Amino acid sequence: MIFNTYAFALFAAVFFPGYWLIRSPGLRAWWLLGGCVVFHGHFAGPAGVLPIAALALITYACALSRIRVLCYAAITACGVALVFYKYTHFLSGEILASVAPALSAQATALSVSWLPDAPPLAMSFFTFEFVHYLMDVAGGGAPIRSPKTFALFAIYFPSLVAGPIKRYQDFTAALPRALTRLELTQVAAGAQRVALGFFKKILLADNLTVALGYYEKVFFTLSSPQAWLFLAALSTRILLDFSGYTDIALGLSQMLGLRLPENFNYPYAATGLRDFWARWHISLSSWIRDYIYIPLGGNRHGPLRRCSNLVIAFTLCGLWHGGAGHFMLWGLWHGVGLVVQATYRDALGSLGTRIGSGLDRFWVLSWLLTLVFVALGWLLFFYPVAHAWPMALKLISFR
Amino acid sequence: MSHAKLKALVFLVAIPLGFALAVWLGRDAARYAKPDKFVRFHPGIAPESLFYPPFSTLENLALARWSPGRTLVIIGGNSILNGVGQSDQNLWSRRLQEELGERYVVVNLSFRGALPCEAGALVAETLIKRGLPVILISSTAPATVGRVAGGTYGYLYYEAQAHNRLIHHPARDANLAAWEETATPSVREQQAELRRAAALDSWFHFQALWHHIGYRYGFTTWTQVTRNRFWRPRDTILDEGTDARPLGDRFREQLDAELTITRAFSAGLAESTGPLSWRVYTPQTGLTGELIDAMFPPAVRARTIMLLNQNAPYYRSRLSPAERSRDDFVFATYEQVWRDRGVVCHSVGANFTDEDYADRTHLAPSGGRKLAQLLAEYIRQFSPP
Repeated sequence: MIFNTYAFALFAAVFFPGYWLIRSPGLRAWWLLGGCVVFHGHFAGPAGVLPIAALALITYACALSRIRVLCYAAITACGVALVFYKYTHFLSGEILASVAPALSAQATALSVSWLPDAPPLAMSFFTFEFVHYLMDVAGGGAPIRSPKTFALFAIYFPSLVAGPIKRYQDFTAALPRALTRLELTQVAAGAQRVALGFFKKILLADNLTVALGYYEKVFFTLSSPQAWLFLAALSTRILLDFSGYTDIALGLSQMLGLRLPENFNYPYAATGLRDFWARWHISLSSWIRDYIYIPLGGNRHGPLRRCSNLVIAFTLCGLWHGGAGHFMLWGLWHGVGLVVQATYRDALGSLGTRIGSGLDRFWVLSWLLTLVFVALGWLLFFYPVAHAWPMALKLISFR
Repeated sequence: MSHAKLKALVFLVAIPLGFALAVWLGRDAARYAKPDKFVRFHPGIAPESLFYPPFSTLENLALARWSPGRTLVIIGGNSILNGVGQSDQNLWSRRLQEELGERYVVVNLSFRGALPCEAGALVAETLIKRGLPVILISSTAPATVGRVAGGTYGYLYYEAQAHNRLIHHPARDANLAAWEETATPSVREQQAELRRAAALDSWFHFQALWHHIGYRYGFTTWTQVTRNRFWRPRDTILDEGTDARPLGDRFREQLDAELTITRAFSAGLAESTGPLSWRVYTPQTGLTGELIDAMFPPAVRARTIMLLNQNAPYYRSRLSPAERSRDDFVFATYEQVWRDRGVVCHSVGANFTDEDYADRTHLAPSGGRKLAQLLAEYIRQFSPP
């Protein structure tokens, strides 16, 4: 985690007091941009900055032209860059290997010589924000004219590493106010949020990570209650880790006077999968809805298209988390779950209606079902299928 | 001013005040904090359980025992000198203190897996820099010197350096800089982070404060070592090291694997030139010599007794005559490499029995006693400048 480094502590010790002391909004904007450049430059390195800088330039120029074809070309460029950096190994090593092993070996060898060890820092976040911007502009939205404002939107450091995924309309509207008027209460609230985030991330989630690392090695020797406790810890850990990181990002941004969108809203209190996705990684699920599900047709072309759109959107959502088969299956798991939730009442006739009204009445049961479904899904998220499947079998067979 | 603003102001003012208080407490801890009734760094107060004792703790441990007129015997090195295979009560360094008597103070600052130039060696260096009478005892395998940075205990080097405790030794700086240049970007960034941490710590003393709290009041990190009691203060986690198992139960586990290691011990360091005749690989001896020069400042070398550890006789007796002769040749050659650099060096274990070893490398209490007797003799004969 970048915020938990001495490099960031030193950066923050210089950057924040400077930001607060500067009174002129113009100068403050330059200071903020300078901070973002230093942050991105340090943590991404030259190999990570260059592709992002190139994509940002293309995005800025194409959006400014307001020519739809150019905007779509830039969207394609972003997509190609994302696939190249993040999914080449997956495509050549996993997908191609299943149909043409010899070709896969050649492609993998080639990709190793071309690709850096890791994709550029926050590649997925950049791509999603650029695609959102370009699609909105192509749809008639006003582009960001000021290169400085666009650069701030692109590399705003609090949300750079793990989101939330910003919307440019909200960001550009909030930025001038943040640069002009910084309130003491906002800074204090932001600092408290940062402290809460560190508490969740370091004290709770990182501890669970270490413990889970030990117990996952002995998972098959655990008793059934212990195995379920492991699953509960796994689910708790990802929530605390991600929401803790988000708290830090939101808090840091609030300390600059700018509110970023909330990303979590008690997701494990959800009483259905749809409800869960309205509470979990909200900025991602709304992005998936707006830029994949709805463009695919959403629920406008009948139940069959609706179901396939859901499955496609969530499979891509799974893949967004990483280039590996188990991420794809995790997305598929949720996609299918959402399809079942959306259709079972009609598909099962009177039985479905009875089940539905029963679940509506006994919300604890819906909550439990959702929780177990989501928790079992985390096995697919964290482990390869060959490992996740026997783990799930052990859990549901209560052995 | 509104109530909300006043609350925010109080909170924001409390942050630097709290920080200043923590720095003041940390400064105090850096001066005095150390484990009680310290015998050795057992896993409960060592990096195995994510407890990274700061350099100031190691210094405090040495200085607290020393008094004018006495010579400090600092024990560095790895698990062999840490006494794996010996319980706290039967630890060889206790025996060494008994052998040496009141004129010497023995402080065991060895860690499991530490290199001869790490941890205890750095404490010895800082005490030599202060002008204290110090003898450093360390141990290693032939051809193993390593670097002070890059491993588990590398943070101690950066802390000592940031606190300006080390002897100016440009050869070490140059060697580490050259190593870092060839390292991967992630290793370079990791080292830079350790340097930043040490530099900040030299101002704010957070390591000393945090470890003092962890030792006295409670720990927050789960570890495999402390599992169900991870939150308890580390002063309640006792040294659970046990003596070697009965002789009949030793050595037989993973016999083939251990024999393979024993055979390979000197295989990469010398080549045959005829029946029972060997020639050392000179690039390796040259590299070892360069690292000794670079990692040990001359003043430290002059006050060091380096031990080269033989494998247990249970395994050595199963080597072919040629393999045994190669082992002997390599040990003698590397003893000379250390001696050529001004370090007193002895091989130990060649005349020990099965009873003296807990496993392939570690000593049982009887082996510890023999080591203590042997070392006491070396130390008495030792006449550093």
